[in-house]
Amino acid sequence: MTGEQIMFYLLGGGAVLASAAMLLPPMGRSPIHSAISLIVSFFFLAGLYALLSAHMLSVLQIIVYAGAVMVLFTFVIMLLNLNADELQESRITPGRIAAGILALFVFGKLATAIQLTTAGAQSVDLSDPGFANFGSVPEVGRMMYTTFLVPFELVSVLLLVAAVGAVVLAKRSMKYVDRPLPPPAGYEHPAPSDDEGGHDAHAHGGGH
Amino acid sequence: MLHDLALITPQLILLIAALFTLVADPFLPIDASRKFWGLFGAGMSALAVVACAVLWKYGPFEMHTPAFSYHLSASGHALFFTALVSMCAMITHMSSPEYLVEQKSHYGEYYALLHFATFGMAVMVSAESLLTLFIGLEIMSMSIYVLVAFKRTSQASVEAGLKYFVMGSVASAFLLYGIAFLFGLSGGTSFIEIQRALLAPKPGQDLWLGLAVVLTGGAFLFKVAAVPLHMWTPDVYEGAPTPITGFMSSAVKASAFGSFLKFLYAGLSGPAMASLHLPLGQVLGLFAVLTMTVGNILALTQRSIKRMLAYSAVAHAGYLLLGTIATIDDPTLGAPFLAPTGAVPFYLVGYALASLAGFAALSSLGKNGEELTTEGHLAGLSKRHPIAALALTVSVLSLAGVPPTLGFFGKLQILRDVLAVENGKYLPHVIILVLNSVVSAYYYLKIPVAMYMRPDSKANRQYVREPSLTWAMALPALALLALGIMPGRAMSWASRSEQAIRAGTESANVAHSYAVVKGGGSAKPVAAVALEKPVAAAPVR
Repeated sequence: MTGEQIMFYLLGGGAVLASAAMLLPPMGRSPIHSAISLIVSFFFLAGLYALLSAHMLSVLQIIVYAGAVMVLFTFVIMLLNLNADELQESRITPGRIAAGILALFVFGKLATAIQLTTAGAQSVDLSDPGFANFGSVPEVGRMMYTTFLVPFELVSVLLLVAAVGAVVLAKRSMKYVDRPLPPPAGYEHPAPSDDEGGHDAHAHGGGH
Repeated sequence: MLHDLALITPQLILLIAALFTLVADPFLPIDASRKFWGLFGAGMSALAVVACAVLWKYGPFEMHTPAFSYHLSASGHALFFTALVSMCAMITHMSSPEYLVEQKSHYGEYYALLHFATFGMAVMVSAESLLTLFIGLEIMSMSIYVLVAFKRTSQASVEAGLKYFVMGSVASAFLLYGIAFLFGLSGGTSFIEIQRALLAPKPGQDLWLGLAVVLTGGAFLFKVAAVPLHMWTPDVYEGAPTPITGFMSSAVKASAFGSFLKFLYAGLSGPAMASLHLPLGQVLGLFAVLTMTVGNILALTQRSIKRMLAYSAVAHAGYLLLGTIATIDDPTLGAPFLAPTGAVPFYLVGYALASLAGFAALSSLGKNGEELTTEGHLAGLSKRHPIAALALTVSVLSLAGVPPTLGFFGKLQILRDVLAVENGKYLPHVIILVLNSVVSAYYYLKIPVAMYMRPDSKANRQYVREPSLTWAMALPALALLALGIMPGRAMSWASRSEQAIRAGTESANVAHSYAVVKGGGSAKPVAAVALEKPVAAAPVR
């Protein structure tokens, strides 16, 4: 076993253990403990990325996921402040069993597929000078501003939409100025005497 | 670079409109904002349609012209669908202001989000790579989630927004997972790279491809609201602001089907799909039959017109899925493609116009923060608002497929194309479609009956003040009649749209064999060859 393989099994095993701890009791019972297990799992994954020579991805994993996203998670959990009654004991239901079987099936398929794909594959020597820049920050940046320029710019639009949307939905207390539209010039009221809504609006409209 | 920018003019117009609305809205006084944004939005959307038309007619471009390193294109397909969704946006912008004021939810962000949604759709249907397709889809979905929940004082609207958000996010995750597998298989995200990779079988390919097909297919079926992934439709359509319901059933459906066609045709075809032995046509046929039957039966029992039209939207997704079969004609079996007659894009034009006219008419029914859209509220509408009644009548006649309207020709085209596949292989499906149309006529015709034959009740009175809302009902209804009388032009546009996908797919295959003959085969040369030697497009009928 090479050093790389030992590192892989250590990191991979750690990631699996941390993920298991996230879901299963005793850690899985408290949302905060689950979130912390998730952070640990993210760190192990970052290590795996580093092993794959994806330095940039590895650092981003820690900054973005273990940093920003998890801070958000823990904030939300603390804001909700669920107590023991609201956190129901997880029970085994037919739906969950079916979901578990489906997940196992997909896992089996994926494992077979990986086995088949990698059977005759040759490993790439990343110490080769041709791969000197592989996964580095300049290389990723170059890709982002050349080949993937359009998706990169589009993602900024997506983030803008998300930000605008969040403000629109969250500003519930914003005062709404209720001023009905005035009727257009030359508009003839169909039946002013018994049309309550229309009459109301008409009166308001006349005020401007 | 400038050339590339010229190719995406329609998208740029929509994006600029969105950003301008966002920046300028705070500076406008409230009354001006209510008058201005609807007209501005309609104008900019119309400008995007014009830009599409100019590119379509005068562009020095082949049918399949990728821009920005194979991320976007201005192919006939992209332009057709961009123009279609921009047209839908134009009508929605026109029908919105009065409705929003009446529902006490008029804020400028609405129009910006509507532009963003249209921009997302335009990107999605012009995408030449799965990465762009996904981001476009997300821009669209994100805007629509917020627009659905835009009436923030209404519980139904917020609930609808949350439901759509949660379920839509799961569907997006599935799509992304499927795309990741396709990327792993081919080492690239653009359709041309995927096609090239799928030409040669590799060990383990079948499993990856199968997973990718199931995951991406599921996500698309969710977006078009096919049974059994239709559960969100009635609640979301009913809770959303009425103009947005119209926008969802026209533009969202059109863009979802547009990119689904492209994806099936350009992404998942070729020898690798054939070796998968997945009867894609049969599977889609089963979903189509289920979707149209369940949609129509559930629509029969609805009291709220919005809810009824939501189930009718599900049923129409079924008809369109059946049309999709005719278009793809089992590429899995290695059979040659049919001559693309454009049944699905053509049907989408009729369906989008009918939805827009219908929901614009329904937008006028409501006052003081209330929507009055049950069957009882429609009673005697012909007396109160003859234009709305007439527009709604034309709309439901087209949805039911009654002859002088465009809906009839759309259905006819789908029936004809599906019957032509392998000498009536799908005859049972076609019979079920016809039976479904008969069933649907019952609930559609309830609407004109209520409007023209029931007495007017005083409690229902309301009136339309904005001429733009009247035009928003009248224009699509007139277009339905005009195109119904002269369908030839729209048909040739639709068929050119499908030919464009085909030309793109074939140019990839031809380029590959060309490269193989010349001894090449790496990514760059093939792409370059495809650019130099586009296959001459089949003549437009």
